[in-house]
Amino acid sequence: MSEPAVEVRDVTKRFRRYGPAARHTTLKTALVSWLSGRRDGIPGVDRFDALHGVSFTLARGTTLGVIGRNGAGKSTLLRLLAGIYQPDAGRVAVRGRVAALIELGAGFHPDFTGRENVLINGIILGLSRREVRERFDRIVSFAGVEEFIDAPLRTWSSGMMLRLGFSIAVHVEPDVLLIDEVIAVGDEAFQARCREVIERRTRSGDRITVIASHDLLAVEALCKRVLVLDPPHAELFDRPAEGIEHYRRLSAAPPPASS
Amino acid sequence: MITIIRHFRELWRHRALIECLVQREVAVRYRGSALGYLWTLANPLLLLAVYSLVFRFITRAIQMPRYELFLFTGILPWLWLTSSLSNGVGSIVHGANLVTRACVPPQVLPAVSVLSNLVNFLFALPVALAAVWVAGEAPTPALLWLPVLILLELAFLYGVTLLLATWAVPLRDMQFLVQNAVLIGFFVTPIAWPLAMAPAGLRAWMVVNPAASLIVPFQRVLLEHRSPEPEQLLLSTGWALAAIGLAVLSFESSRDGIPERL
Repeated sequence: MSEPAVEVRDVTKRFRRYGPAARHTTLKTALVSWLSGRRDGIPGVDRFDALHGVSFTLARGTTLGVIGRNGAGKSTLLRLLAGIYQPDAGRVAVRGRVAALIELGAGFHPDFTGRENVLINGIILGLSRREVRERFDRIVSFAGVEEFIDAPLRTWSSGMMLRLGFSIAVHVEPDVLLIDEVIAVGDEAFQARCREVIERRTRSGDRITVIASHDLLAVEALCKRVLVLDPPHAELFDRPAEGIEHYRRLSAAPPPASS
Repeated sequence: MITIIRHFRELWRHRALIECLVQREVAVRYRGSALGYLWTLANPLLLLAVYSLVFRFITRAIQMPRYELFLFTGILPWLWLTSSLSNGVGSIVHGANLVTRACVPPQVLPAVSVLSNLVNFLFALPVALAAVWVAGEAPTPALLWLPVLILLELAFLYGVTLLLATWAVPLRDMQFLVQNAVLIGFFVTPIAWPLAMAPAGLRAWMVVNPAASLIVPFQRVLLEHRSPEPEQLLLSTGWALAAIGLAVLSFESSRDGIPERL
């Protein structure tokens, strides 16, 4: 309990911003900027901090809600936690197996059947073949897609695909589960099951779940703590209601003029 | 050196994922097509027919016994090379979804390109062996060199494909470069013409054309039933090591920036 399982210290993530003069790098523009000696010199491109000096730690058993406006850096933060992005400064440490649902069904292939996609997706998320086989029935019944499991995914409805993607990720039973914007997936019955799974993870006491969402009601109901992104900064609230209140105040204020 | 060992250890750790993606790649290529795997064979055979028509019957540029068999043994490793490079150069760019949304490590994707084309090569290889046999020559122990030659080409192709795929992230020109290089490569590599036909001075060409140093040993082993010349093996080993060294160092030094540039 004492050792934090997720530790984010002084993290800064910088991105390129493409202005109207910016063009895609081609051999020509790269050569020109290289010859003219500009190391970072693609014209029309400047840098901005998406996250700056962000620090927080999460103990095991925490379910964290991440809220903020569109473009506030929710997905960036999740990608940093997943190890897809590396911070430009600071340190991100995550202990244990991580599964990220940045976008549901990102590894899905439309020409393959549901059955084949479960295997591929499970392996992408870090399971072995045997583990996927053992969990297969539970994955399919949780998603409620038994009838379609042997049909190619392109014949599925998008809702069914999303349910399958979510089901695979939670059945990986990762130590750290990162979910982006997908609580509102599926019909009411499925949403209820999702909540149940997340609550079970919270109760287990040793799992961490991070949920980025605009669904404030769900965040308040499910999360123990809330991180409010106010780019490029972030503030952690131990009481979700306070965080949501803070976020509402931020949203009411006019958006900061971009410099 | 440590970087290279660490790179391959990481690749090895993801072998289940690689295996799975290779299976997917091989399966999806011909899914829904009536002939299925026969296409892996139809492609080299069609090329063979056209080249034979052009070089032997129309221009009569090449008169050599068993020309079609010679073509066949050269075209197979050449097709493995070109299809790996042309699929592989965009593998990271086109696999953006897998890298940025599903946490697939980028180096896995070029490996999948090379390996899935290796599978096609291995499907077609027995047909070439059988063709040589049917033409009246029983297999000889020289064939035991095949695994070595395959391994050398695999190493070389992984290196080059990783390098191209890494560079293609900031420089989308790479795929056009590859398209053209492949087109030219066919004519400057001894596939449609035997190396012996070239002027003696030109044989030094193999030093600068890695494809030649990879493919000539295949022709020698499959068709002439002789062990590859040691200096050719040395040369292709050198090329493979150079490609891997350069590719891994280049990839590892830019990998942190790859996901956000996709």
